[in-house]
Amino acid sequence: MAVSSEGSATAWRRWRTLLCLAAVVSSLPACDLGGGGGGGAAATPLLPRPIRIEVPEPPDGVARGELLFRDQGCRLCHGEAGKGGVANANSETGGKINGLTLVKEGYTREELVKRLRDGVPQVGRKDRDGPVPPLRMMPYGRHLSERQIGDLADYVLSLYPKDRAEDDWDAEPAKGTAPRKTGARP
Amino acid sequence: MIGRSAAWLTGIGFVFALGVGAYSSERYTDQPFPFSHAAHVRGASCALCHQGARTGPRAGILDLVACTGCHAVPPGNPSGEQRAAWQKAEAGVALPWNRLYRLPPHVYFSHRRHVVLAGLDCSSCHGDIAQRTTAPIRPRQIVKMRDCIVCHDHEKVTVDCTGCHR
Repeated sequence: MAVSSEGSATAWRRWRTLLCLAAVVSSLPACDLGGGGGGGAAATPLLPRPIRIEVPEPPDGVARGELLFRDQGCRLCHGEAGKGGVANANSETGGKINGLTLVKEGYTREELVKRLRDGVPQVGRKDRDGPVPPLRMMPYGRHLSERQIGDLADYVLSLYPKDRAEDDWDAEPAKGTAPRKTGARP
Repeated sequence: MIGRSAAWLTGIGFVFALGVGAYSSERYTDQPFPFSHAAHVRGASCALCHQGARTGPRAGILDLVACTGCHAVPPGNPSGEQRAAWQKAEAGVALPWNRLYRLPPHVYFSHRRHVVLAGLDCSSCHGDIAQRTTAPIRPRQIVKMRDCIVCHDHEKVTVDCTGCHR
């Protein structure tokens, strides 16, 4: 009887040790010693060295506008260097977002600045009974200063192809060449 | 015998409680709509939405009113509740994204100083979040004080306590 009692006491001690270990192990993830906001979230280790980014000082308005074009998400919709082509289902511009290279043919700088400032809250539908085109243009006047909007406009106007002279609208097309098409308005 | 049973029950209860605690510590932050960082950083800087990253201590995030500037319809397959929230945002009623990172109140950290003055890329502290295609529910990396110290040491920046602690 004494042996049995001693054996069960030993077993209990073992179990008690196991319980304590289990308690300690299970409590470890609960200890969020960091800044809070996400225990157990460290998916990747910190980089040993910081990654540097260049913050250039653009010299002129067009260069500053190009930086803004990249920074402000313009190329998300209008494509790299304003080439256009991003899908926007049922938009009046053929289901795609227009490019910006020919904007100079349809807008003065003042008109373009206003367009950038106010955005395009409603994109026209190709099919009036069809769905709303999912993308539109935000009013950049909310985020950017007047100078920044001016820089952005200068950059967009600079996208006009160099080989297309601006002042030849009244010129007679050379024999054998088709009349030039105008660019779509953004 | 009763004492031993009580001890057993207490022990099991203790372990269970700790388990529940550990489970709940794996907390996540629900977000109101789907979001892909990867789709946005393809053509925009992080500062487009996290505008404070270059101008102040907190990076912050624009609310859903800003999202409706470019998106005419809510993303994904929105529920009725999400559609209603989107409509409110379109009308100018701010609905926030939920914050992931929180610093202890005794720590001072300036995004502007690290991003603009030191020129650190966001991934230095935020890991691969720019490649994520789903709305973040947890920080991708947790920055501990030792990480700050290692980086400050490496960059020969002050490690004086009062530099970061209030």
